[in-house]
Amino acid sequence: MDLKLLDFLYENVLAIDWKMLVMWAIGGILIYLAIKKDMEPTLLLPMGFGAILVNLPFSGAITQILENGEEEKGALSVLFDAGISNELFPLLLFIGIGAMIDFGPILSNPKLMLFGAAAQFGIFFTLCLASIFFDINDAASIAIIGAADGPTAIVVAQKLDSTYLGAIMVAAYSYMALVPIIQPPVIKLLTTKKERLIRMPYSPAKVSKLTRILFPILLTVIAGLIAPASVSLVGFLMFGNLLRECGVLNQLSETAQKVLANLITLFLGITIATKMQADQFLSLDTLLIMGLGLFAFIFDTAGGVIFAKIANLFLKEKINPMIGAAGISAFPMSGRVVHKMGLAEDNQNFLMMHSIGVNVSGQIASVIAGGMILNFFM
Amino acid sequence: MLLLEKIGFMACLKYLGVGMLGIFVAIGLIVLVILLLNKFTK
Repeated sequence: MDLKLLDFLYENVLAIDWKMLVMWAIGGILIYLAIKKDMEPTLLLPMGFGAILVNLPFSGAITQILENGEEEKGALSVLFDAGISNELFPLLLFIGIGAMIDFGPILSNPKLMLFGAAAQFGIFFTLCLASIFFDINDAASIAIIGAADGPTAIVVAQKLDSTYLGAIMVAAYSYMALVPIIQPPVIKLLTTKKERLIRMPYSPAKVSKLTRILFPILLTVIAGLIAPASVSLVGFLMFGNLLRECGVLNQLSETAQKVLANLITLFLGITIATKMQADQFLSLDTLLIMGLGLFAFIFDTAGGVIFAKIANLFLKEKINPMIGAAGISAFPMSGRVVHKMGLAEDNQNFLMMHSIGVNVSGQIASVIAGGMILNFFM
Repeated sequence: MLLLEKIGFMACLKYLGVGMLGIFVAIGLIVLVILLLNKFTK
């Protein structure tokens, strides 16, 4: 037996370096968090596994340059070019997300949308802080972590040609899953017990079917006129919602909500990992991005709560300022967190419909914020 | 479209103001549209 044939085995094993081992550990941690802690498993598990795949020596999962100078295409690189570098996957996912959302709570009480707007404060505040450490396109891409919305973060980071897509995605999805841990201390710090006890009776106004059909169409036009760069994001989200509300495309709506959303999520998670190669991911910049992402979430929460407190200065019927925190786009976790906090203070205080309404409006506001960021810096 | 290079912290505060104003204007218009839709489509 020609032992030289076994050289390839030694070469591959000897090509393992400490950075790859660290990335395997990070991949393992993401998988653990997904399975054991049930933290955003639909994204963290594929990202964790993908991180391991792309950090194996001479991994065939990503494009490699061979000894003769030829390129050997890897499947994940092909998927990345097909769906992420052109922002196609996140936009298709938005069709599914739009089909899942019921805008009824904000259509019956549209004032709630203002809290969704206020809770985007963290994005722009983080932009200021991030611009101290990164160039403006990367700073804007990092700030959009505060949108708490994966597809928006991917689209903005790609269009602005950020080199930190992997770190941005890990930060965005990790913090979305950590909303039940991040938000409560911030809310408690900014509110008094008396404010947290404010009850908000729920009496929904009836919403006509025509309103539900016209809403996605008109919203797309308005958002597109104010921030043209947001047309693809808002448009695909609202298209999905129109499929749901029109009443004549139930099969397409169901397909969008289930098959399309699951399929794209599957591809998205594992393909994002192409940006988690050790040389790109393991740097102090990644730690800084994780810190800035947390900052964005904290100040989003603060922005919503403080806006609600300011509104209370002018309102006769006071609102519970905690619902402002639900304006972050982490749907439905943020709405549930606020509802649970309300019940913890007063077990007869049911804030769910208000907080979910604000949460839904945060989805719209975060997409508009993404469009504004693109308008500023593209 | 603005073409930007590295800009300072103070300049970014302007984007904070303009960005939040833009979002509130957009959301305000959307709220107005919803109120009109609710009024005329009962």
